Amino acid sequence: MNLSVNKNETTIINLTLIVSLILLMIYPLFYPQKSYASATGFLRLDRQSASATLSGVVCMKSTQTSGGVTKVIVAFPSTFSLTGANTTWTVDTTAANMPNGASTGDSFTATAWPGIVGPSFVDNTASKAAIFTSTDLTNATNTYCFHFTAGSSTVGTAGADKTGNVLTYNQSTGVNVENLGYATAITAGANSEQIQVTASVSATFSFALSGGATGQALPLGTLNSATPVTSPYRVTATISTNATNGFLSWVKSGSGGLNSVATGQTITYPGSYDATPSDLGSTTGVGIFGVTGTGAPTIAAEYNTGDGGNSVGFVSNTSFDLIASKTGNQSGTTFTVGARAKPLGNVPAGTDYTDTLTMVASGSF
Amino acid sequence: MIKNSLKIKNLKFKIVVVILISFVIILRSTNIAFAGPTSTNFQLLDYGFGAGGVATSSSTNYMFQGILGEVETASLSSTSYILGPGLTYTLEPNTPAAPSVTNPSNYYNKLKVIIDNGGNSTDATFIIQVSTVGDFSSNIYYVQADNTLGLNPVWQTYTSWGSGTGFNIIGLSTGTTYYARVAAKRGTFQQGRYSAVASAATVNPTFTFSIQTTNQSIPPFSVGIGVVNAGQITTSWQSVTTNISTNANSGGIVYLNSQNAGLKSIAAGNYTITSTTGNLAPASEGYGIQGQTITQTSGGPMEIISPYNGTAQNVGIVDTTKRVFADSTAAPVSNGQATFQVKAKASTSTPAATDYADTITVIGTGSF
Repeated sequence: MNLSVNKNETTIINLTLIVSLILLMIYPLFYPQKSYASATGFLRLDRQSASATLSGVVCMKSTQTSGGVTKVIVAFPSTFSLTGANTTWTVDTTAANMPNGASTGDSFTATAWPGIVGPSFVDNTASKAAIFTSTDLTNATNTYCFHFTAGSSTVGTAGADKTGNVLTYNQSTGVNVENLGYATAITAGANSEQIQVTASVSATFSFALSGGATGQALPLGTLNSATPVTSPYRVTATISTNATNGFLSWVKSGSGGLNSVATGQTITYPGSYDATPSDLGSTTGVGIFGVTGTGAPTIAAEYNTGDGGNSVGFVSNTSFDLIASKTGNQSGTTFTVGARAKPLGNVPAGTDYTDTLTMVASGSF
Repeated sequence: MIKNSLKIKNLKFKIVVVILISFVIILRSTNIAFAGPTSTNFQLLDYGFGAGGVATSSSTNYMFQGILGEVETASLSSTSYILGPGLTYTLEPNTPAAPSVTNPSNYYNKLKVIIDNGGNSTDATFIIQVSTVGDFSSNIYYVQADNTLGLNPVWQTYTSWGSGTGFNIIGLSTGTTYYARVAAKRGTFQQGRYSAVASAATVNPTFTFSIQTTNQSIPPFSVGIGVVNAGQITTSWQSVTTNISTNANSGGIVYLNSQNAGLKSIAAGNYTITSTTGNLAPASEGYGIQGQTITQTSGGPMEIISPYNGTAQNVGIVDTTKRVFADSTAAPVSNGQATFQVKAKASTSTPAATDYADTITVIGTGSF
């Protein structure tokens, strides 16, 4: 047999053969396999009551390790409302959103879904689906998870047995790699999957005086008109309370000064309650002063003279005046009170000059 | 002339290579069964040589069997059976009866199959052909050795297909009717006819979920702990009941998470009694969840998951992380209930206030 072929014919035949080969190579892409495996996993919503904002976690344990996954298509129940542009959706694999067998009680620890991005497309019509970009799920022992938020989309109306599916897809071959069917339920009523827990914490308050001489006395001893005499002791006030606004303590005089029954005379408190202590170095009378202690409560300006010096504060016998305070919880907060006096030179001698100070405190709840 | 001859040889070689490659690719892609050669009016139906005898030629992997005799295509048949004449039919294995295909327990992605061995010998092997179309005109799959569906036939013995116990075809689509039929092959001889068809349908996945409190069957739901005294542990007198039903293979799961991660008081300057896991008795202050009871109508059983399964004054943390409170032990469950109570303890320094509050979100999920 004699066969003759010229150069042009050879070229045409070669081209034909090459095109044929290319067509044959891509043939499977036009007629992809339609069988796919069924993965396990779940869609866990963040909120599950009617009309709640849609977000949640998608988890899938793949049975295929070389399916060439490029997309994951999450089809939501038909009653869900997918609104807004796909750009309002977000995805993340933040650990706090992922199941963790060690800390969340889940039966597995999630593996961050590889290459998850998107979604590139959201369909609120027939399919109710969002198409996320993904890379291949290569380990059949891993459960891959990602968290998503869906903009202003909602979970729609209440009901049970709301079905959907999660499909992994190889875009280059057109093959559905894995399919996860699921069902969920939406509870009826706003916030109907939530429990409001309420409680009250009861008020506590304790107040005690201690120190000084027996009976919380402040003995001034023998007074003279030349030099102020300061009590050798101070009485300690201790306050504990869970009052949110802390405590306040007040003081009131029983007789308006050091009163002597025997002489019928009274050494009075000089000045007034005006945030300005009186200096017994330049005036006469009796007064008290406060010194802050544990917890550093604030001593009222009228009494905030410190431990030394000659200044004292006025004590009314008609009203309680604030001597110390502090905001917030108090646990063993203390302050101390001392007395100081310098009588006039013509004050009758007597051994029974006395006043009784009443101190009270209260929690500010 | 020699050069031209070489070109021709080269071209012939290319043509042969392309034809062979095409042949292989098409075979791999389509699984098309070969039919006999045809002309406009006729088709060669059988390569057998009639009933005149049998001759074989074999290598390690392949065998050619020739049968000498007369081709006979006439036969008696009914819908399910055919009486085949001639040695060809004599050599064929018995045709199995239709397989048993059932959905015994509301399966949504699997079906139970028990094949019939048709009285074939133990060395007979079987394929199970499955389709979502009753006449098998399309969507044809074969059960694989791992019980999934695939495109290539897998021959296994009656024993390997589970004998009389059968097995579950897995990886099926939800809410879909599947049709199955079985063919046998004995030894090195040819595949017999397919059995009659049996079918069953997977159901759709199901999931129901609800919550209620001791005295509230409809929302909004609230649980009052009441007055918490310093140093004392107070338990809510109401309990919360969660209820799930699902046919999910891996069961239902109930998650809890908290908005405030504790009992928070705005009046007390946003002070929060922080939720913790542990025993509240020795703690100065705390707040948490303690599971109480579980029950189910069927399936499961339900179980309360650590740390919510403590007793006495042991509680589990509830914070912004979703944590598993209860599940149905990785099995479908019907009316699976789990209840919990809330416990709180204040210290002497816990600010007094009447507005301590938290919001617990309860989420139910089926693990399909």
